[in-house]
Amino acid sequence: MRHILHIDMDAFFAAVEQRDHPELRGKPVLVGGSPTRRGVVSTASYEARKYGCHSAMPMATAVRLCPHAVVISSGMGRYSQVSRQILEIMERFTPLIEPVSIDEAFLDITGCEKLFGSPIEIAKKIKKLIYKETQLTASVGLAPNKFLAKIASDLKKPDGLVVVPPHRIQEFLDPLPVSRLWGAGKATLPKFEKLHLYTFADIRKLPLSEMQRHFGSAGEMFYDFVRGIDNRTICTESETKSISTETTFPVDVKDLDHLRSVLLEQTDQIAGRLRRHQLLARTVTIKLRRPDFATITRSETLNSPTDRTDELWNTVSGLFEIWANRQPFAVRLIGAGLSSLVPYQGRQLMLFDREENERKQHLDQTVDQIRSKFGFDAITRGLTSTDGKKKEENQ
Amino acid sequence: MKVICNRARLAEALALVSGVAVARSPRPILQCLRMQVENGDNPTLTLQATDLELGVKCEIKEVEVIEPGQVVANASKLSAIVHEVADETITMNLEQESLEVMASGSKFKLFTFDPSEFPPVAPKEEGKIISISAAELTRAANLTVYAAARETTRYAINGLLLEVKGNKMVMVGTDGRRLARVISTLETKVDTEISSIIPARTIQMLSRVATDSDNMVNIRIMENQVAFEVGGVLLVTSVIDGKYPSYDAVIPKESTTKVKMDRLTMLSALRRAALLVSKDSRGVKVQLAQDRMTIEAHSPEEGEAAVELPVELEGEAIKIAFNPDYLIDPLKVLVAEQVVMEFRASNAPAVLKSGSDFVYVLMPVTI
Repeated sequence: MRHILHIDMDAFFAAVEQRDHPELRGKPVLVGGSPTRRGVVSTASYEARKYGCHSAMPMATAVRLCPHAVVISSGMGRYSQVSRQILEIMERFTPLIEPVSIDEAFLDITGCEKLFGSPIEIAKKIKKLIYKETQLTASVGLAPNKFLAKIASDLKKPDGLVVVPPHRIQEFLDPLPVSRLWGAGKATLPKFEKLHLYTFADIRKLPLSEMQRHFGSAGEMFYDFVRGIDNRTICTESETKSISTETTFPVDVKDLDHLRSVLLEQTDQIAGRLRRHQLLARTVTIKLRRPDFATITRSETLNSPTDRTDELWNTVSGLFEIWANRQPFAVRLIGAGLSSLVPYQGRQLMLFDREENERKQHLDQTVDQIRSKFGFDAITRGLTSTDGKKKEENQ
Repeated sequence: MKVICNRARLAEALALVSGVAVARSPRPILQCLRMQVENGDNPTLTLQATDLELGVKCEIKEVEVIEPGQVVANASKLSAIVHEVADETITMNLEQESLEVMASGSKFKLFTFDPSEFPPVAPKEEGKIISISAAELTRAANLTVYAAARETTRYAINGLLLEVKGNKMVMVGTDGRRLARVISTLETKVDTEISSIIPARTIQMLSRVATDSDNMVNIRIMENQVAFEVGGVLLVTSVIDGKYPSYDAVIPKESTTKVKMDRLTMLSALRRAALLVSKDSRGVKVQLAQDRMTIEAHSPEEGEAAVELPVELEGEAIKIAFNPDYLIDPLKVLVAEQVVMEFRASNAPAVLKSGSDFVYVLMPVTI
């Protein structure tokens, strides 16, 4: 059996601000964009949450709910420094660390008992060290797999430690609402409701075939999750040589706009994964498969490695438009990939457009933050009507 | 056309001209050069080549003209032939449609093209002319050209900015990570302000052309072209159309740390530390405290390096990281014995200065 920890920092950005500015302690703090410029909340301190403020909420709304809150624009550089510090603490226990975002990570501590004590002791030690060295609190979930550990860490926030013993998995899962199901976003939740499925126990009553019929390929995943089955391994940073994703269509697709929108979502996804691993990519690749399985790939190497979604999308869509203009065919499978990955730490800073760069980075980080709390579908990127057209003109 | 030519002089001119001719092109005439032989008081052989962006024209006076005329033939082949034969002189003769090249014991025939189809190599308009010594122009070129970008999508910075204002000429090169700026003083004043972006390749050619430092170079600046004229060579280039980034805005105006050090000591220290930079980040850590600079490199796969050198430090101690290549580049081409560096913060641009006219801005890598 594996021992997986999910470590989630409590109200991370706000906590860092309160730590560095003692005058903010005990006060409601909102970190994020400006309320006058349609900014959103990245993190609300626990004091602000009492007023109903939460991340992903428009800053203007949050300020209305809690007018005396202190609004701070986020200091990403500082947060990632603290994040690095916390990762270093985790690295003292195991090299098997998968950072999920700037403020959470999975750790596989299986087999560390001889060195550091029982899994529970390790969880306590890490929590203690994080507090001692950063004066910040973390909530920790300990379970036999990632899915359970993630749910557990969220149950007793802040400063919680929740252990899911293997013999009590079902007892632990059954009463949970379907919204806790990993991968169930705004598209899936109404379906559950329509089927009168409100808790994990409800879902568990459906056989696998039913689940697949209603939810397609995700059905099997949900079927496993509600039974506490999750065999995903910890994906460490150093193992990541490339990041890619692909989609096989049930029916071959000719429509270029449809392909564009799939490619955009894929780019958005892999860009997020890239940032989660604190990496930058230098090479961008697209992959297209014909109905007869003949596959072409097209790559472009960037001048300077990036993790910005907009820059990656420019490159992906550039490659796509060249293909679309020259040799379009019906597509069975489409995919996007990133390679030549380099660490974010130690990246070359640029002379020009520093403000624009910071703004775009901030946007990406806010989107990531929202998605790590509410799922990928919580916020999506749209194609503008000029995407594609503009490129075609340039050819 | 028939001409007898000093072989060494011809070989030198051909090397220059065939460097501009296109290696492979759907238009075979662009792989060629045009030779024009003129008689009279001033017998000359003129060689021309162009890739439609950059054109070069080169005059040779060391010739004996038997019959004037012109011919267009493959540049790299002719260059190779003249390079291979060992004679003092070479005879070239247009016989029917072939260019005959004769040296002792060998005779070559090259197919030719219609000279009237060869694209002209000449300035399109009068433009404005400024004059600068070849020595100063090559100095400015050498101090900036390495910093220009190579094939970025931000097209303007693939070239060098040439600005003229009053009696000052400013040349700037940048690739977005570092920026080099040098100011030269002209002997004459210009009444209007001039600003052009010149392809880096042209500037590289310049240092091969303007070798005799006593010469003066005439720079003719036109709407879409710039021409350089020096010692019988003419370079005409299209300028890059685009907006050059406002370079002045990124040159820091103040600093909190200032160090002075020996240029060659610094260069050697950086080269040593650079031997063990990590392949991923390519950064060396530079620490300044108490009149010492420590340069550290760490490569997770190979090992690490630490190099120390004495400096004169003014202001606060600082820790900052750079891609060492970006510091080695300017230190290699500068000539001053001492250089000055200024810093503000580990995530803010650093400045390398030499004299009052050279400024080099360098963005750090994050620590």
